[in-house]
Amino acid sequence: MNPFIATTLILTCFAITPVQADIDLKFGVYTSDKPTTMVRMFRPILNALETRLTDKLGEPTHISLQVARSYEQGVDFLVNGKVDFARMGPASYVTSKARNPDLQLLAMESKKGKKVFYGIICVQEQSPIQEISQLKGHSFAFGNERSTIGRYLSQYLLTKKGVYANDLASYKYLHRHDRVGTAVGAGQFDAGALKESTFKKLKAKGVKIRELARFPNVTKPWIARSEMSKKVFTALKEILLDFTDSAALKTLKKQGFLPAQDDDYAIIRESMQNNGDFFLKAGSN
Amino acid sequence: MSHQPPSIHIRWPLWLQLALALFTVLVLVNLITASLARNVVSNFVFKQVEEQSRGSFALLAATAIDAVITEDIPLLETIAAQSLAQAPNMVGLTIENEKGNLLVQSLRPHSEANNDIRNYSYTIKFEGERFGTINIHWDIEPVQQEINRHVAEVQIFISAMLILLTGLTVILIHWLTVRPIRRITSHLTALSENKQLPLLKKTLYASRELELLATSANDLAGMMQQRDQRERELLQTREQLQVAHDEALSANRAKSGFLATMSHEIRTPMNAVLGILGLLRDTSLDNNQLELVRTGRDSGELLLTIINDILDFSKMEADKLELEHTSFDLHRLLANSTELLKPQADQKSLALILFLNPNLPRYTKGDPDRLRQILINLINNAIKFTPSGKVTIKASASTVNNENFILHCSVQDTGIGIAKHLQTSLFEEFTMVDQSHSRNHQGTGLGLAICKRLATLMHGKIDFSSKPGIGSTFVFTPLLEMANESECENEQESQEYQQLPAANTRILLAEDNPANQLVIKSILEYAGLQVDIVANGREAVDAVRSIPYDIVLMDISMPEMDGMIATRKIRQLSGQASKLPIVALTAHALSGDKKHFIEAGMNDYLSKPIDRNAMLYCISRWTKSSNPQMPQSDPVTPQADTSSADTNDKPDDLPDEPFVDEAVLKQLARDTSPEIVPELLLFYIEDARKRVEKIQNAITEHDAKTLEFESHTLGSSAAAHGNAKLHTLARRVEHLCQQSNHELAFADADLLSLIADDSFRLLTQRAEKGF
Repeated sequence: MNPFIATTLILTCFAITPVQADIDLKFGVYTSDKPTTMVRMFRPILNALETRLTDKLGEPTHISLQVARSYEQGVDFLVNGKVDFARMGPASYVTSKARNPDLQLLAMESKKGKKVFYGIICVQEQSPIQEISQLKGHSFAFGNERSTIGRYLSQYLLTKKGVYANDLASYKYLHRHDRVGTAVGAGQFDAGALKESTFKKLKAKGVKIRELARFPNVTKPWIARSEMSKKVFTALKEILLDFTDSAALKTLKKQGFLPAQDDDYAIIRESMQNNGDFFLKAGSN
Repeated sequence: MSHQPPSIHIRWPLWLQLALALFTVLVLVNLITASLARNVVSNFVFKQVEEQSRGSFALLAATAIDAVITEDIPLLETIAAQSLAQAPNMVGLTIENEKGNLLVQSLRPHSEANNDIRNYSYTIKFEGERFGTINIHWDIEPVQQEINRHVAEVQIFISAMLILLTGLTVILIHWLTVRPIRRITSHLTALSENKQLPLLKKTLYASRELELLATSANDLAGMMQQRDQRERELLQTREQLQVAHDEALSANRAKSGFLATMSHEIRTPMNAVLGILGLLRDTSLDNNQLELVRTGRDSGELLLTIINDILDFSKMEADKLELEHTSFDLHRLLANSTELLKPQADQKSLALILFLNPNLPRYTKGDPDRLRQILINLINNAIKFTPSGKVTIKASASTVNNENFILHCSVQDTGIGIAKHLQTSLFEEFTMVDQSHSRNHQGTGLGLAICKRLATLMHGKIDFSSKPGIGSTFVFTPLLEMANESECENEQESQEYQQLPAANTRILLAEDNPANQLVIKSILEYAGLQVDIVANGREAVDAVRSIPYDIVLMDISMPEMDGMIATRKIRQLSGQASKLPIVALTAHALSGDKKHFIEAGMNDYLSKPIDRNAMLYCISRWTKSSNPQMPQSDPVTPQADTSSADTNDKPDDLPDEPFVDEAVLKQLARDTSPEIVPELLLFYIEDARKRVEKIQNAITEHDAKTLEFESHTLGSSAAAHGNAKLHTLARRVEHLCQQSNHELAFADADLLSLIADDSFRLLTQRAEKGF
């Protein structure tokens, strides 16, 4: 054989054969809790995803965890592609999507098989307030300023019931759901908004609070950055939707993943878009 | 007890060696311990540092992990600053994220200058995920100081323990080993100094080895005591033996002294007896009387020989015999000695043959008299014990080196031989082959013993082989020194030439013995000399003061003043008297005595019994000059030309040539053989006498022709046989005849007859000496 032809064939073979390289993916979350708690919560599922992705893609796949210090940083990481995929609250998704419309939803978490769970407007057990409209002239404790339940959905409910910021004697963001329930139970605030699971925990602990109203919320989405390769996106999406690792899911305190559509977050986007009304409009007595 | 020579090396005491060894071990152990301790302590301390670091990291990681996860740099800076503030030894802290990017770095000021920094790096992991790295930089100088402190403490402790151990060991060794060894050593030293000590006690704590050593020392002491006892006994025995030996030696010396004295005392009267017999023989005697005188003289001479043997032996016993060391002609000595005994051999019809090997050196140095004595003794014995046949003398040499050679001289006979039972004791004193009461042969039995001692003195030996009935061969092998002809010439000439002293020579004889006075005076006066006699040295000194003598004959042993002192006094006189020739007359024939005589100022010596010719020759030699020169080296060796004869009788116009020309004779001997020369000379003399008679007849008959012819013939043969003066005169007579100067020729021919007598006489004497 002609040496030139042989060399060319060998080189061609090398060119055709795909070079196996590790796939490094970065998963982003923001600190809705302590960073180590976040790591402890997500590392098991990320490990499981690594295994499945490696099997599925046929290439060693590593997923590292990027914990952002804040909601804004978490949004920035995803929008700017610093992380390959992220899990964030619905409000943060809406914000991110608004900034980068090419973000793709992978799935959304399943809470007991459902996409929806509830937020609670609570008052003290012995509070005379029986309706939301009665909240006027009372103090109110919100959660985080970027929180779906702790701010947007609860303020949207108040707005729809005709209670605006100015109607309240005072309000304050206490950043965390447990603080809200505890503060309301201690009488520091007349009412407050928190998620249902925290409300139940506090009640179980003996905190003297009572549900005044509830409003629906959607589970958190898992979003891929806009430039994620189709192959990886598809594989990841399929794995998430088919994810049944109970141990990992238990750590996440979820039951699995459900297909997600951007419309699932319409209510969230609506509440956010109308949030300005809560502060601008003045209620009528 | 013999002591080992002390070693040149300095030996240190055992305790010091031990202390040094232990000190060396201490230093080594200290170094090793320090190294080990440093290693162990370092490991331990650095492990602690590492644990501390790990603890710090754990604390830091727990504190900072949330901030690391979220890369909360302000919080991390705060945490780092706090950590640095809380840990004084921590000089720096850096935190990197999982990619290695620096998140925070906090360094203590001036920490860059510190070299003793150890870095620890830890990975921040959580739930299996690596979130970053924390690098902690520790200043380990305090740690090093801590390690050094610990090591120093360990060293000090171990050193202290080892010093203590060393001290205890040295003390224990000193008490248990060194001290006992010193005690044993002191004990042994005392033993070596022959001090009596009690036995060493065995101590309870002594080691088995030391106990064995002490036991050995005690055993040694016991053995030494026994040995000392034996030594004392031996010493006592030795002293007794020494006393016995001294007594024996003293007795032997007394015997030798007695023999020497007696020999000397006997020789002196013997001298007189023989002299008187000699004088008596020269008087008018009938045949019976002459036979009696001859027998008496022969007996006297035999007795003298015996006495000489005894005297020689006594000298040898007393170690007083010294050999001469003079040059001589060995060939001639052998020939003369052989010739001397030829008459005896002839008397028994024995052939006496001398063979000289060509390798035998002619001129040599040694003692010719003693060599002759051995040779004559052996030949004499051979003749004595050989009834018929022959006696053969063979001489050869084996060269030892260029200066010395060994003479191998054998005397072989065909005699009766020596019985085997006598052979072993043949060389012993007083041993005689013929020991029967009716001995056929005379002698003392000392001859061979003397020969053996003489041969030994000449660094040689004498041996023999013998078969009874067949014969014996004696061989002696003295070591002789090489000499050349020139060294021998003077000696030969002195012996070969004879001359008589001048008439009217005035002689002073100092001799106390009246018999000797008579003999010597008779001999001298018979020779026409004037003699005055004094009886001791003092009279001799007085005599030379007043009378101008030509020579003094000085006896050595005399009453009042002996000859030696008298000579010294004469030499101290003023004027010509102090220069008088003085000749010792002595029976002290020891060779070493000559030296004493010369040192005393004597010119020469004559041994008793006095030989007439020797005495006249000696007087002639020392009186031919009015001012004799003191000899410079060997006074015995004549320095002057002794060839001139009686100068008073010779005519004035007589040619000044020797009667006998030794050079011609030597040449004649070389041309023929030394053995035949005497015969040739005697034959010449016999013929020449006839020529002289014919010349005398020619004078009587006034026959000039015959005179010329015979003068010619006589002159020729005289020249060939060494009669130089006769040759010259004969030639002159012949020449005068040829010139027809007959009157003068006949006058000289008369003189020729006179010269011929002296010439023949001297040549006969010379021929008798042999060549």
